[in-house]
Order: sequence, then structure tokens, then C-alpha cells
Amino acid sequence: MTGCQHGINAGAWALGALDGREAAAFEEHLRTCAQCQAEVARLRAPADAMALATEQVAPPAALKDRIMRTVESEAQLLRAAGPEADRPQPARARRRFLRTGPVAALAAATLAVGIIVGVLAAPGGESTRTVRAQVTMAGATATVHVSGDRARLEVRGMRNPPPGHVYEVWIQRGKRPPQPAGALFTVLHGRGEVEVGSVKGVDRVMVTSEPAGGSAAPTSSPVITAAV
Amino acid sequence: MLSRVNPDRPVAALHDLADEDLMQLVRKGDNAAFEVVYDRHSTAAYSLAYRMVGSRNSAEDVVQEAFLSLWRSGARYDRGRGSVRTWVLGIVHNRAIDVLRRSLVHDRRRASDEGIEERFEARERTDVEAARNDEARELQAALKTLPDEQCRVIELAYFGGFSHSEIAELLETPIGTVKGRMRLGLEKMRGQLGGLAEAWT
Repeated sequence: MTGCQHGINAGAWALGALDGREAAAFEEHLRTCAQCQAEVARLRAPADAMALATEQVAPPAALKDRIMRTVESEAQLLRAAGPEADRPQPARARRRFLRTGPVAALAAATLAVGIIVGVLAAPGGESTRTVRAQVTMAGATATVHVSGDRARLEVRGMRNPPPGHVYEVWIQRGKRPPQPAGALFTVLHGRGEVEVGSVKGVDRVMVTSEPAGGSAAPTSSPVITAAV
Repeated sequence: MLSRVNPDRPVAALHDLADEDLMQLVRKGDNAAFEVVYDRHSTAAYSLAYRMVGSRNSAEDVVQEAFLSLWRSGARYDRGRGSVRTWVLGIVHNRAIDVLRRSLVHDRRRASDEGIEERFEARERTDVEAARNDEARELQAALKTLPDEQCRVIELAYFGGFSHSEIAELLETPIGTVKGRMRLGLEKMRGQLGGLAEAWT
């Protein structure tokens, strides 16, 4: 244990139980206090190990099927892109590619080959409602189909974003900053379809044009906005 | 360079690879390698999510989001900072906390009326299939050796996503005491786990 007076925070910090401001203050303190660094290093392992300190239950097979359907279709697009996906990229784009992995490659692949990203595993039996979105691009339409908690976005008459860019989907809850939905897409003959994922508690689904590979926060104003 | 997935490669060979090596393949878009990672960690991930969010549907959403984010951002995994399992479960934990914070905002207001601690204690699980995991058993046993008051604050913080001040309010205990119990409890867990705890660093 540490003799530092801030050491009392180490356990709460390792458990993620400090309030935002307090956590920031403790992290600032950690930069310079060797005693607290050592304490945190000690307590982090048992805190992380808590993840397994609960009864183990098997996930349903349908969950794996759903996840693997998405993964396999994305992997297939990557493979279909073939040599294009291997094409050397400018240094800046390359770094982004390395950081974001398959999605970035997928986006690049899609631009090269011109196919639609986003394959939806439609959940059966649930009622679907359709929301018409506002689109800033003349002649384009966008609809969001919501089944249960999940949503799918469909666009028609859209032009592709500028070269080196993709469309990125965002979800927004209340007035909080938009979060990436983890979905990038481009369009073919004006059409595109993409799985937005869970929209539980989500108020708005938006689309912006972002540099290939996507962004962590929107860097342009929305082309599509849908109140879900 | 992106590597092609080799259709002739026996899947069995993937099962011999360490997680860290599988992640190298995953970041290149290898879906078969991803499937092995999923098979290895999905039970722990689902169990954690289920314990935290308390419903099968929400737990499935959490696990799906976590694994798709792993698939799409595998390059963010840094082996210098811990095992793949710790990383995966960390993503699941964060997603589940998001779900809790969204859905419990109102519940928390009346938490003390309803004895919210019970919500995060082991639930009756008649709707899910139990799975065996010796390491999980060992960790559950280690947690049980803690004095109740230490166990409770750690469970409320980790599984319930409560902050120390919320816990202090729930348990009508001073904040300093709550922090102290967290630290002592983790310290004791560490002692109980011995080498196992080291494996998590």
C-alpha cells in the first residue's frame, strides 16, 4: 500500500468508480506519483479479473450466427477488393488505415470496386417501422427501417462523397455528441443500404461524409438526419 | 499488405494459435481467425454482459456490438497492454456500463427504496444455459472470501457501474469508507488469486 494520501483512490479508480472530474484529477496525479502508479498497477489485475467473477452462461447460437453473418460478408468484400485493397496509400491515409483495420480497408475496397457495403441480417417476425429521413442532397431520399431495437438505413438517388471519402453513420442520444454507429458506406447507382445496429435509446441517426476509414467524431455537417 | 484468407488452410491450425497471433489475422480481415477468437471468449463476454444488464436481449446487443467493434478495429489491440481476453472483456464492460447509464438514470433515483444491491447480486438464471469455466469458478470463490462489505462495494462498482459516491449514498456509508473497502477488497482478491491475478496484467 502507498503512503500517499491519494492512494485511497486507487481501488475506486481501478474499478472505474471515480466520478469523471475526480478520475481526471487522480490520473493527473498518477503521472507524477510513483507510489500511486505502483498501487494502481497492483489493483488493476484483480479489478480486471472481476469480469470473470460471475456465473458463466452460454451465449445463444443465434447470436454467433448473427455476428458471423456480418463478419463474413465484410470479409468477403475485403477479399473481393483484391489487389485494390493492397494498393499503397499516401502516408496519412495509411496511418488511418492501420489504426482502423478492416473497416478502413473495406471502405477503400468499396470505393475501388463500387459495391455496396453493409449486409443486413433481417431479424424475423418483428414489426418494422419506416422513418423518412431529411436529406440535404437534391433528389436523394433516405429511409430508416427499425425492427425491434435494430435499424437499417436505405438511400436512393445519392451521389458518392468526394474521392477518398465515405459516408459514415452516427447515432445520437438526446443532446449528447453523436457516436459512430460503426457503419461506413458508399453508393452504387445512387443506392446504398447499411446496418445501423442497435438504436435503443437513440433519438437521431445521421450520416456525414468523412475521410476514408471514418472518423471518431463528425467532421462535416449531416447529409442525412432521421429522427428515430 | 492484406493477406488473403487461404481457403485450403485447415481451421484446426487456427485453434493452435495464441490469441495475440489470431488478432494479427483478424486485423487483416480474416473471418476464420475472428471466429476462433469469438468461440474462445464469447461465453465470458456474454456472462459478464448478462450479469451487468440483466436481460438476454440487452446482453446479446452488448456482445454483438463489442465483437463487431473488435472485428472492425482489431488494430487498436495492443498486446503490450494486456491479454486479448482482458481487452475483449474491457470492451464488453464499457458497453454494458453505457447501457446501464442510459437505462438506469431514473431507477437510480429510487435505488435506495428498492434495495438495488439485490439487482446486481447473482440472479436466478432459469432462462440461460450454465457453462463451465474453472477460472471463473476460482474468481467467484475468491470474491466470496472477502468480507461482505468489501464484496458489496466492489460488485456494485464493477457490475452495477455505480460511482463511489452513489454507492456511499446507497449504503449510507461515508465516501472514504467506500473507497477504503474497494481498495482493501481488491488487495485481498489479489492475494487470493496469486498467479492468476498476474495473468491478468
